Parts: sequence; C-alpha cells; structure tokens
Amino acid sequence: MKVRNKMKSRSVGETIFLILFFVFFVVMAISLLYPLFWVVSNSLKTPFEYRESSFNLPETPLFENYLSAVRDISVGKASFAILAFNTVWMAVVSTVVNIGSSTLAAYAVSKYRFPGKPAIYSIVIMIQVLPTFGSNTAMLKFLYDANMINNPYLIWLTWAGGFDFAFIVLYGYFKSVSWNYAEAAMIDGAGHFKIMYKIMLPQAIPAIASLMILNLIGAWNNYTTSMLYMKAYPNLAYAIYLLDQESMFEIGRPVFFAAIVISILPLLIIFVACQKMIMTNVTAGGLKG
Amino acid sequence: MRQGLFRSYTKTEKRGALFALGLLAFPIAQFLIFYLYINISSITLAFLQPDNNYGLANFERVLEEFVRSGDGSLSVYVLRSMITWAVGTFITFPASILFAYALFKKIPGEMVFRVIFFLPSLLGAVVMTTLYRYLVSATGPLLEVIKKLNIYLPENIFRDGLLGGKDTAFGTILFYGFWLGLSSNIIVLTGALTRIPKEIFEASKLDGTSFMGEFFRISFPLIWPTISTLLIFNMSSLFVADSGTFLLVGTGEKEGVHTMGYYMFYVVYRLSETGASDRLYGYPAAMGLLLTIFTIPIVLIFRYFVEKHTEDIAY
Repeated sequence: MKVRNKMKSRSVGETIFLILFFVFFVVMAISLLYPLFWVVSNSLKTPFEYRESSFNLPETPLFENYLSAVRDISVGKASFAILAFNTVWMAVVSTVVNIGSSTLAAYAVSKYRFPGKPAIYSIVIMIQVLPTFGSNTAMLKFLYDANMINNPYLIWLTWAGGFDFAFIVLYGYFKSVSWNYAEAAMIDGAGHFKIMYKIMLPQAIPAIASLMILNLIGAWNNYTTSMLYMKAYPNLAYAIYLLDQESMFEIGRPVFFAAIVISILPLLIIFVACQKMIMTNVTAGGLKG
Repeated sequence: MRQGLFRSYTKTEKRGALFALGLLAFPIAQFLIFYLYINISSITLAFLQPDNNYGLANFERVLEEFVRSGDGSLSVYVLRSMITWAVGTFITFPASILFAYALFKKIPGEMVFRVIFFLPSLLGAVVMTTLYRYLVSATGPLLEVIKKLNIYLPENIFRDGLLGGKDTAFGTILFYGFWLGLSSNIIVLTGALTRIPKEIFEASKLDGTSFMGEFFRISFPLIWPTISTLLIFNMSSLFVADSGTFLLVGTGEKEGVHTMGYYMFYVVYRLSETGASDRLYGYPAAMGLLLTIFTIPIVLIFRYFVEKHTEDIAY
C-alpha cells in the first residue's frame, strides 16, 4: 500500500524508469545472491553429491564440513586458526594505522594554518590522478632491501598512508565541523591536543567509524599483501586463492566452500549491523575534485 | 629560519601551526618513503640492466616486445587494456550513474538492493572471482542453463568453460568487470546526489520539469564534479596492476586474455615468488615508466577538458 502510494506521487517518466530499473535490479540482485546461495548449498554436501550436481540442494545438510574446514584446512605450516589469526591482525592493524594516519593528516590540514598547507591538498589530488605504473616493482625491491618482507613488525608501515581516499573524505568532514567550540575551549585554557581529542575527533566519530569498517572489509579481503610481501603469513583470502589452485583430493570441494563461507561470515555480520551508518556517513564529506 | 617561516603568524597561530606539523610528521614521512622514494627509485630501477650496469637495455626489450607480432606482443596487451577501459568508461560507468539515480529516487526495496549491491565489495575479489569462475566453468550453472535452453555454442566452450575458450575468455572477463562495476560507485554517487538540496528538486517540480529534464538539467550537472573526478581516477588507472584478471585466469599461459595490467601484476608476482636479484627488477620498472610517460599527458589533457566543463558548483 505504502509502495503504491509512493509510486502514485511520481510522474509517468519516473514510474517507467523505476519499473525498468526495478526489473533490472531484481535480475542483478539474483545474479549476486545466487553464487552465495550456491556456495552455501554446496558447502553442505558430500563430495559425491557435489560431483553429481552442483545445483541440487543437499539431501541431508552436512554441517560437519564446517568442522572439517576448521580442522583440516592448512596452507604450508599455517593451520586454519593461524590463517584466521593472520587475517584478523592484518585487517585490524591496517585499519587502525591507515585511518589513524589519515585522520591526523586531514584534521591538521583542514583546521590549521601552517607553511606548505596549500600544497598538501593539491599533492593529495595529484597522487590520486597521476598514474604511476610499475611502482609495485620498486616497492618489492625496497621491502626486500629494508628487511620488511615477511616482517610483521614493520609491514604495517606500508599500510599507514595518510593521504588517500580516507583523507579526502575526512578533510571534507572536518571542514564542515565548526571551530567555535574549539575557540571557546581555548579561552578556557584547553591546549590543541585536548581540543583535538575531546572536541573535534568525537564529532567526526561517525565518519571515522564508517571509514574504519570499509577499510576493515578491504583489508580482510586483501590477498595481495600476503601474495607478494607476506607469504609466510597467509591470510584467509590468500589461502582461498591457493587452495583453489589445488586439486583438493584430500579435503574435497564442499569443505573448501565451507571455508569460503566461514571466511566471509564475520564481514557479513559486521556489515549488516553497520550498513546504515556506513551509507549515511561516508557520503557526508563526499568526493569533490 | 623558523622565525622566517612563521613571520606572518601570531603567537597562538604559530603554536597551532607547530601542533599541525607535529600531527603531519608521520603521514608526511610515510609519504616521502612509500610514495616519493618508491616512485623515484622505480625510475632509476628502469635503467638497471640485467648486466648490472645502467643503460637503456630494458627499454629496448620493452619496445621490442611491443612491436613484435602475435598474442604475446605488448601492443596487444595495451589494446586489450584500452578496450577494458573503454567498456568501463562508456558502458559500465554511465550505467552505474543511472543505477545510483534509481536508488536515490527511492526505488521500492532500495535499502535491500543497497545491501545486496555492496556484496561484491564485502566478499572481496578472491571470493567473487572464485565464485564467478565456478559459475562460468564447463560444469557451472550458466553453461548448464544454456545447454538446457538448446542455445548453440561451439562444442569446446562446453568442454573448457567460458573462461577456458580462447574466443570467449576476454569477453567473459569484460562481463565480470561490467557486472561488478555497475555497483562499485554507488556509495560515492548516491552521496553526491543526496547532497543536492531538496528545495531544488521541489522548485523544478513546481516549474513542471519532466523526470528526464530533472535528471539531465539538474541532477547530472550538479553531480558533475563527482562524476568528473571519478572519470579522471578511472583514466589514470588505465594500466594499473590488474589483479582481478590475474585471479580469474591464474598464472597459466592463456591466449587472448592478458591485459597490460595483468602482465604488470604477473611480472611482479613472479619476482616475489623467486625473490629475484636486483638486476631483474629493471624490466618491469622500465615497462611501468614507459606506460606512465604514455599515460600522463593523456590524463592531463583529459583532466583539462573535463574540468573546463566543470563550473564551480556550490550549494
């Protein structure tokens, strides 16, 4: 009823546009949901059932596959628990250092006057725009030379860039936050550090938290760090890539699919819980050239 | 010196400036090492020859591989990269704007669709490519449906799958990019649309502006700064290391699929596998440098034209 009323208040052109897109969206949604359904369904089968047909539903859901995935899957010396641990620490550390660095940089550039300030925003935009192909090679060589390959104590430095997309979003966000409270606090004798963490940062928490969740999702799924620089510390994403290259006679495909489901479950839960916050806050600062 | 730098600052401003510079110390140091130094050393590496002397041998090798004929020619990889870019820019991107617009116009089920369309980002490239490969494989659901519908396809496709067939592999990769690209800009584009004041839409409705008129005369021009920025970013990623294709086709020698981005990623991956000696870094660095030199003027000219049509929009 509510939908019908909504549609009634629209023009004919808008209604046709929305009907066309609604049909298209439904097709698109099915195309995105079906693979997920397919992987869950096949994760509950016996290897024989899977070989017979990957479309049929499992006769009796075999939840044991999930236990087998946790117990039997390993990459090199890394057990499933180690893979999960690597995934968590890499995702959390990368999120904290990346968003932390971007927050400090964005706050300083948006709220203070200092020598060289006008150049910084232009440089950030130039970094985004100027293509620099082939720097992966130099990065690999640098990390070898600096003893940072397979070095969990130093690799986080590569994640701690402060002038990326998060900077642009947070710069816009801080720009829109009034400085009046800070001035009032200054009159009361508050220092710059106190103003930052007591007054300004709390106001940006929705944006910072949303960026952190987005970053966490990206870092959780980041396989290139493990693949290129941290082979001794494989995470789940890299492990799925490696396992998929193998014949999997020992563990069987359904157990592999169960491992995929386990690896994405934490992100699904986090996203479903926080999606409204992400959608409303990341867009607040926006992206403007 | 410091006195000179802060000449025009009051005492309070100077204290604030020093605080800001303190906050920036780490991000700037990180930038200097991991962006500036890396990119400068990428240039010097390009001149480091396999014989450990500095010279132009790497560039000669890249150019030789560029002009040679056949599927392994770099010119073919460049062409495929450009086709990928063109599909992304002229088909996927405009479609994604309409996509975002439909969500912004509160299509029924908008919130559910938003969550579903975010799935590819949530699941990540490894899971998405793994699932896609199963979907289009010889035993996957797509070919199974085609077989059931009696749609004609060459026999080898039913044997090797859509990614395994020489003629269908590149198209299948392009479709993957299109399929996922449609929803990739939703957050940024719907964000830009949401920032347009509601009064503008209300006023245009009172003026009798049609739905199409509202899109082309109001929404599109007002979000043009965001669109142009995304277009420029997209342009500058023309040859960026393409690990998505790498995940789809793997490390095997497959005909008809390699783009420049794939090849760049593949070469670095090989280096990381072998822990190669310094002299082997020159070739990929030279390739990257030539591509950068080729792309920078294009990006800058593109940017000039795009921004020329961008008025400073404030609302």
